[in-house]
Amino acid sequence: MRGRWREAIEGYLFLAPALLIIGAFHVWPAIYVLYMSLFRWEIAQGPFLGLRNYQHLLEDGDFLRSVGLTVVYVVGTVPLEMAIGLGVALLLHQRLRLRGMFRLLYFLPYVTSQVAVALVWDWVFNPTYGLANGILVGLGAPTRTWLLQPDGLFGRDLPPSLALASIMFVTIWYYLGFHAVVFLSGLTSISDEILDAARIDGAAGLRLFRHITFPLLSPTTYFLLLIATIGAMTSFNLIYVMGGGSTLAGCGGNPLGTTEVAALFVFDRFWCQTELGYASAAAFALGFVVIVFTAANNRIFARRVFYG
Amino acid sequence: MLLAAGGVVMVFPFIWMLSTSLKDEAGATAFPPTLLPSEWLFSNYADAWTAAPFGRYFLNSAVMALGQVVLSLATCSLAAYALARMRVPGRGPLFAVLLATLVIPPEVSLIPNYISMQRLGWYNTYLALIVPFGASVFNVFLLRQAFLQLPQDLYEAAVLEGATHLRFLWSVALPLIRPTLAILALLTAVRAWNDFQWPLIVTNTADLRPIQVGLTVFKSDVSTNFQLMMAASVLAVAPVVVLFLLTQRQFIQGIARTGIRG
Repeated sequence: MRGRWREAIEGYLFLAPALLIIGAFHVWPAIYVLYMSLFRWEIAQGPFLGLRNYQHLLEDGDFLRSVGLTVVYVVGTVPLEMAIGLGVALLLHQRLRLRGMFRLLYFLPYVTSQVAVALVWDWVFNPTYGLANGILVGLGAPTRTWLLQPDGLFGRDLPPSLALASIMFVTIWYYLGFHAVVFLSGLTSISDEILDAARIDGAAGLRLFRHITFPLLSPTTYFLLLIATIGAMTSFNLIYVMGGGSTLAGCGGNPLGTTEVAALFVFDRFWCQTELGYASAAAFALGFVVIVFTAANNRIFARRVFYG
Repeated sequence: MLLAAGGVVMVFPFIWMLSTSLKDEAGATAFPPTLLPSEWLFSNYADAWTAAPFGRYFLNSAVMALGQVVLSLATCSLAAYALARMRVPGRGPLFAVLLATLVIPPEVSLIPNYISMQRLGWYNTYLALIVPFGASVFNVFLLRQAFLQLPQDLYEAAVLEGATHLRFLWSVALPLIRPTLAILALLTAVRAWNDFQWPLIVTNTADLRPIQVGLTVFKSDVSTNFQLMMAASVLAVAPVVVLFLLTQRQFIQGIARTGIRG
């Protein structure tokens, strides 16, 4: 009996450091952010406001626009990066020469820092000296102002602006290698027996993919869709740096707010406007949506995904 | 063919970065741009290195990455071992709760953690850069998996010889799961090296700033000196790219297995 007690105590001691850090810096903040959102909180804690910060959010045109832009950003990046990633994975899955090298090339952006990558693309999109305009001139087309352009890609006032669209392009470029690598490992785990059996039954090409390969990949697809969507909903670094965030002590840039997605809205109110209570309300709202999305997906997809 | 064309698009920005970093000012701002520098100016790297305290930025990033790796692997190995191998009352529910906290997106924690750093007096110290990332549910989860795969006989043999849990963990279990430790160390280090938003808000002086934050500060200082900007960017990505090239098999397998998306 004594040994049991000792082992239990020892076990809790083993658990303590990790639980303390995870609790203090991951779990507690999620509760405390809700508390902060109920106050006017600028440099220091101010008076209790109840839900008025949330009420204000619903009337704040900037916030509502940031929500809309986040949706545009997610819808415009996740399906494309996944589709291209899957395409690359299917090509890499064939036994071809230099396969390792290609896998490396496609994966390279993903290991480099988003800040450095954003600065490189910022340079490529430079309106005066950039490579993107160099190519346009070479093709005889008029130059563009890319990351500085608030006008919409599909119409003057329709999001995404050319600025946001350029950032979305870079986002797809950055993440598609990640999708390719995870899809590739999903493809590798599909047993050859099933594929051979399907081939004997006469399935080939697109039909083999549609009826056999793709359904068998569904756990991978679902997993990628979930984490890519969550990642895109809370995306910050690329958008911040390419949107001009590296000027003026981290504030400014962002052509007429057309690249201010939700995570940037939170950061702006928190860091640039020092409205911590209000920013906390926005952060909590964003987190709440992410959590609901995750939970809902688990329920919906749990029944529809084929786990072999 | 398709793959090769795509591959060119994928690496072109990096080639462009390298090429610009070697041009002189006139070459960098020539329009339309030229693909290769007329003269290869490696001195840009020395100029960039001295134009801002990059040595210090590198040191800070290294301390941050190393600190996070050591602390996180230590705390998470202990916790994962307890969850996998020790008779701790309530470990099942505890593990379930831990996993459930994975749904909390880190962005939610940003503002409260900033306040915590102020209150703890950690603002603008290495503690702020290291401790909040000194444990992760993810690492606990993967280390627990690794410990569960060790055969039970090993432990029973060790107990017969009078080994304590700590002793067994240190001299038998940890060496056996070295591949998992290596992957987690790699992923944690790269994540730390590339981290931006957190260090941006908790550091305010050059002697604490990590490289990614330093890079954005450098950009606002030399906004028109594109060749220096690109040289600095090359320096910032070089350590991770070299590490990646050396360990690419483990790295890619690690990502594929764990699905960490930075």
